[in-house]
Amino acid sequence: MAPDADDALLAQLRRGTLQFCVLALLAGEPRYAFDVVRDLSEVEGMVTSEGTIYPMLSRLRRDGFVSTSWRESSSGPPRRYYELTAAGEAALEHFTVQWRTFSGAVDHLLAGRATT
Amino acid sequence: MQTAPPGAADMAIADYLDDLRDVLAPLPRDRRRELVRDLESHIGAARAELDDPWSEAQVRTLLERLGSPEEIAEAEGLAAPEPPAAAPAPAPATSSWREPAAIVLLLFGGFVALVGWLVGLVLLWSSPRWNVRDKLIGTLVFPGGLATSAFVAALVAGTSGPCAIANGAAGLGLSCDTGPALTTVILFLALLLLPFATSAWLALRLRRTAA
Repeated sequence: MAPDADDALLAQLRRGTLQFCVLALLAGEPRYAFDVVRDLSEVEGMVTSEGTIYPMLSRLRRDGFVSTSWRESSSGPPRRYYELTAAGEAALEHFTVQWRTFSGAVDHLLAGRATT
Repeated sequence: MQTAPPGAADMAIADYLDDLRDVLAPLPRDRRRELVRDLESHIGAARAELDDPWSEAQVRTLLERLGSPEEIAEAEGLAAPEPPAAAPAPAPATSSWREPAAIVLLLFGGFVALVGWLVGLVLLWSSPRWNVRDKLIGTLVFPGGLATSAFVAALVAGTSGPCAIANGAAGLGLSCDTGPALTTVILFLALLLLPFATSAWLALRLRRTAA
């Protein structure tokens, strides 16, 4: 497949899933946005433009899925940390169930096609 | 880091943040500041991890990973910028009736009670094919076009011709039998020819922008 078409396909797959990957990375403990972005971009095909994660983080906060706090940094200005709210955890939990079902169904169909 | 002398790497970051502020201009101020600060903070942290934070090439790679300011604006929900809006119809090089009409009306329109010339003026200034200098030339040489320039030329010839001089200045002892003064002839011709020169100039400029 042409690289452009690959990009378009991945962009479509990301559209509905990326924000939950962000929530998953925030599960557990508050994290510095930069570290989250780096973790994401190290996964092949997950992020092409790191900067676009910041508008998404802001949207997640407006939706009440994450909260932020400022922490002093030993090197440089204070940093903004993000953590999951109860609503964020619930949304992540819900998505996880849905995703397992959905991806299982896709895998099943793709596997069926491969054996015929 | 802030106290170091500004270098190419700093400039690249400053340019990037400036561009970002520009494309985020439609956002409410607080939201724009927050987003710019997020990216500034990211750039600072990413830069600290570079092998050489002062290498322009490494900093540029870092900025490329961030994505263009336009991409970030799009992720923020701002519509992708429309290039045509930035450059409104860049002078369609197709031929149009407007420009030739402007030239003809500027030259001869003055004979139609000046209205024709005014229409030519509107066509001239509304055309994207001429620059301001061309338009000023078209307007000022001559206001009213050939009609007024011919009229003024006739006045010049009439008032300063040999007989006019003889009539008006007989008391001063000036003779009438010397032919028309050379300057008068030149002025007369210039007044008649200048509007044509202007038309030729506008037509020439038109051809250049069409190429």
